[in-house]
Amino acid sequence: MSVAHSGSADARRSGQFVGVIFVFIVLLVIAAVIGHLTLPGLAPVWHFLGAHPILNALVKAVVYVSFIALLVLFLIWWERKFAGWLQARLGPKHVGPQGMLQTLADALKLITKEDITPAVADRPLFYLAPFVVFVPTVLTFMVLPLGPHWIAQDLNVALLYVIAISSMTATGIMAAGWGSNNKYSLLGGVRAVAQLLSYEVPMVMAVLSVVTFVGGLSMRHIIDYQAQNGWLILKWPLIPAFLIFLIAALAELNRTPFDLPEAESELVSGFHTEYSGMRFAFFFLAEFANNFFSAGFAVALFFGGYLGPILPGIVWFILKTFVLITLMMWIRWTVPRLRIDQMMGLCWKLLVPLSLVVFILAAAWASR
Amino acid sequence: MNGLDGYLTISALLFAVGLYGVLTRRNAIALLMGVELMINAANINFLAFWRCLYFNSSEPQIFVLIGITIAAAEAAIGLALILNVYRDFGNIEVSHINELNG
Amino acid sequence: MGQSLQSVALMGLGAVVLLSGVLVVQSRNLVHAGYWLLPCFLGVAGLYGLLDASFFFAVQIMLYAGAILVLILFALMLTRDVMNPHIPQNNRWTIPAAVLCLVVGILLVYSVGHSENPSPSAPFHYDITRQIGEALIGKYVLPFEAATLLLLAALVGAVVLARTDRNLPDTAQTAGIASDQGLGMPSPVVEKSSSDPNEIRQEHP
Repeated sequence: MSVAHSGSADARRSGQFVGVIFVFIVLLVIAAVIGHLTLPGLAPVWHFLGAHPILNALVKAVVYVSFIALLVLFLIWWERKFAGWLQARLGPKHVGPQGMLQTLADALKLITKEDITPAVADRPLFYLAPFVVFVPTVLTFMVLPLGPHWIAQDLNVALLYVIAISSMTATGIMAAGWGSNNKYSLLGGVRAVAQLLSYEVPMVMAVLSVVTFVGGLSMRHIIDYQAQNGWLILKWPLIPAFLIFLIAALAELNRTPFDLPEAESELVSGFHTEYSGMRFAFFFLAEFANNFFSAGFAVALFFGGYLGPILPGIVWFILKTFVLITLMMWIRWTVPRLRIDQMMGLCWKLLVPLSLVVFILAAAWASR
Repeated sequence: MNGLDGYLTISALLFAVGLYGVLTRRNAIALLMGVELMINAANINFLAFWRCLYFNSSEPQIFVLIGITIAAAEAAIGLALILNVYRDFGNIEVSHINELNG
Repeated sequence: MGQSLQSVALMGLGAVVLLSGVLVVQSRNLVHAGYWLLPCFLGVAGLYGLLDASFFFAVQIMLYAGAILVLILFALMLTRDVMNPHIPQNNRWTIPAAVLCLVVGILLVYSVGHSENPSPSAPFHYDITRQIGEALIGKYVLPFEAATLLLLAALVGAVVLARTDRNLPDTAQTAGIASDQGLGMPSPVVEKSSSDPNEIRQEHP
């Protein structure tokens, strides 16, 4: 490459970087404005909704589902942009400012695709599988503490609920693998379920290590504890707990280096081989929503959730979650994929004993 | 149809449904499904009584927790046994597995 | 408003549980029967939630819908040959069993309806998770430890019992899932079997 070319390439890259930072600042300002509107401006609306539980639930459901849809659009764009920068290229840049409407174009394309169902597929299971994978992911958002008054439902067993609901996606993946009536899909589905169930054990132990400090399972309780005692990541035994949680969450999300069940070069894309169009879009949506949720969950548990000095809580939460998601994407585009036996060996031979040791250490540290 | 008798009715009918499954199904795994239904019915019963009458004590909760644990262990071992039977006999219909040393 | 909402929820969840339970024991396709267990377990979890047993709500979903159901489905998928959907899945005791279960059900419901039955009393301030935790470590530590031993025995036992035979080629177990005369897919031919786990195997479909 001649000097002139690389010079303009540098100018393009730095121009992209500035452009993306500008987009982020605009979005954060919007989030800050929304965050400030909660308390004074819309108080009569909250009063009215508080008196009608069914209407309250409906409004929250609509708000959360649209939030997730917009979030996923944004996350897919950011993933492609960041992946491009990591690979010394620019991501999407033509469709909309900084390529932000690229995901919308992709979503429109997916919606208008032909819906192909294999003739010998098990129809009820084939049709149901995307929903059984998508609905638990949306349900987990119910307990995510976006801001000081922004938890949809402050369950007192929120942590247990999150783990329980996210273990239900295994059933949906089995349905997808079986319903496709395709031996590659079945093998991919079986491997994915084995991976999901195995990596739940270290994830649960890492979360329990947090519970030994906090003494309760409610998300608000955890963040109040961090408001008084500092971020939980600063307690020594919880640093390995966070790392174990991160690795286990990457495996739960089927993200590289653990994406053997669904990678395109392995088993012909695994359990969602036979899905096209909107059904595939549901799997994709579920995966990215789960990404955001796992990162947000880790932020709430270890990094103080919405706590932060000047900006409103929701802005801090989104910023911290974003940093964690970028870290997860960084790992994705850097590390090669693990084989299934290496993955299982990593879980059962390394992470499970390590998480037990970390749990004992955390319990000892918390009660000294 | 409110309160304790609602929960007990549901539990009773679910138990009867599980019993029907255990008595009529040919496949051993389908039989296990019936057993799981019965265990769930018993757990609903325990928790309904706990909530309405004995919410100070923790005995019913321990019953239910240990019951769920035992159900999980039984499902695991039962299914492992069924897989072994399948390997040896070739099918898992309960009426055909009637020979020792087969 | 809360009271009627609660009874509506109770009736709805009860209907879900019973309907999916009946479909579990009635479905001819066994994988469908297994999948009807999912709304059944979720309905039971909802009933636990209505009973303010929030810990059991989460544990029911985690263990039953997330683990036991997956176990049952795995076992169904590994024993596929007998699941021809054209053979009847019920044995010859269908009518007597139905009669017996109807009698049992009616007896139980009758005994429920004819006794003094209080409602779930209104406010409920107990932290059930804390109650269970304190009981497990305090008064009921012996059942807790016994359950631990049971789970250890079940874990080791299930791993030992479900191990593949030495005679079978390692890929035949998984290949057997996907090749079945009921589906018309050809079975993959495995050329050479070896017990070296690191060797990459080629399958010729």
